[in-house]
Amino acid sequence: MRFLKRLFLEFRVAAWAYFTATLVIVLGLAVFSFFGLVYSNLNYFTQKVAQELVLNVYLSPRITSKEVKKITSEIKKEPLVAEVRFLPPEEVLKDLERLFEEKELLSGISPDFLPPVLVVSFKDPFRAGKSLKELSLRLEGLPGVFKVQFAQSWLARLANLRRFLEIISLWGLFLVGLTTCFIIGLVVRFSLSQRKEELEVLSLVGATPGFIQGPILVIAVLQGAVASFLALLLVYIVKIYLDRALLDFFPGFQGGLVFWNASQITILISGVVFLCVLGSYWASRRYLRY
Amino acid sequence: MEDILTLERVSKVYEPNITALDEVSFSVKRGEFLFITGPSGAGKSTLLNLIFRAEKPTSGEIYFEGRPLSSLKKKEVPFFRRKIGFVFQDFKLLENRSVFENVAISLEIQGIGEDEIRRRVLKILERLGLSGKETQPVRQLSGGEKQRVALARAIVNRPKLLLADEPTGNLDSRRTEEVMEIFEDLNAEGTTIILATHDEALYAERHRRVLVLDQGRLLNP
Repeated sequence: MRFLKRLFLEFRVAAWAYFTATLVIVLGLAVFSFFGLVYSNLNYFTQKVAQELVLNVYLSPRITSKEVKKITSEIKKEPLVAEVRFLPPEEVLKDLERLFEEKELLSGISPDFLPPVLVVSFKDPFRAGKSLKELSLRLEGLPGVFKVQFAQSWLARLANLRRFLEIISLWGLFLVGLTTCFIIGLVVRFSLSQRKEELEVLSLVGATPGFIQGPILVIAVLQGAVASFLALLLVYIVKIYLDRALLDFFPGFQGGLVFWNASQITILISGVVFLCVLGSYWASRRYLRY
Repeated sequence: MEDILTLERVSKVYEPNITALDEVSFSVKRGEFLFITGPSGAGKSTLLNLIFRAEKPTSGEIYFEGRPLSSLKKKEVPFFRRKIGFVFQDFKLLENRSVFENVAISLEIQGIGEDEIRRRVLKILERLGLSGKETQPVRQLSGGEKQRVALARAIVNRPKLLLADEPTGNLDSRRTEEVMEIFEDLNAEGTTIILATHDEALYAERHRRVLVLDQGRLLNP
């Protein structure tokens, strides 16, 4: 009870300093988590696009269902394969009709003219990319396989794009993170430097470091938790706005940007709380006179 | 009577080469009322700061109740300071806190119960003519009132030794006399007092021991 009273008193005497410090931390952190969000989404988006790029195994027109099953189970042995889908010639024709806006191009083409296809998608297309050539050569050697085709060049371009985004975003995230750490340290130190004399007086009248720093550190925990919560809330609001604003911006994008998951949020909040406590501890320690 | 405080060849040199105190030695008996005087810059405040362990001597040793202060561990310093009351020249009050809170802090840090704190603080404020100002923030007080709050904070803890650095510097002659009366009363109750002042009128006709400092040296050890 007495500690709570001291906590309240501690907050009351420096409420403005704590408020502005928290606000600065919120803004710094919001920029950091926004960059994090951009990185996660670019990463997620390229992954999704890559998953659209599939391996097409064109089969002989007169292939039996037994042979199809054999080839399918052979493909499924590959650990990177996520799904193998069989498209009979009728389905292939429908796909082509969906692809070509000029319907006349397909007039007169009967399903018998088209080969059945096995459409292979991968769990992690970027990882699979390296072994795709080898796999396609192996599949081409199987009886009943007419031709194997995949968008290797597109996958390579996407992989490069992803690597580029990864380098840029991660370095940006690192720099913004570093700046945020610096801002948190500086703000906490500055807010306590305004109370230098008070901390000095308390140590001179015989207060122990625990007595003086106890409420300051508890407030630092609250400050870190509140600041990270508000920053995440702010970024979440931005995410909701972007979900709506970017709808139909890209083909296939139905809204729903990815947000930090529970463990990432826990790490972020813990990290900020830790930084605030560490900053407050070191800053207040400087002003104690023992 | 036994010595409560002993200084043995205590020197304090500040960087780069400013000697604030030069081999000062003296003892203070328990229950004594000692004046330290000298012109500004003589080393009076430095001497009190060293006794209070707000600073450490460059050389020499200070003994409080027989224990050398150099043997105090950092964690022991707060507990040592609770035995000593200090009226600072610049008050060192918590400006944004009330008169009551400023005085009560000396007791709160020792974990004394709220009722006891209230009783003792109100009693001391009444004694120093500060009744009715309990809830007033210190920043709104006059220099003389601040001086008395600082004195109240220093003595509410019933210290064994009371150090006062120019405690009447901001007071008019009437308040000065009142504060000196309080010091006399505290001394009569058994508190050892060391009072640093440059004002000769404070110790004249009081028949107390007076140590004279000049340029860091004790002229009458």
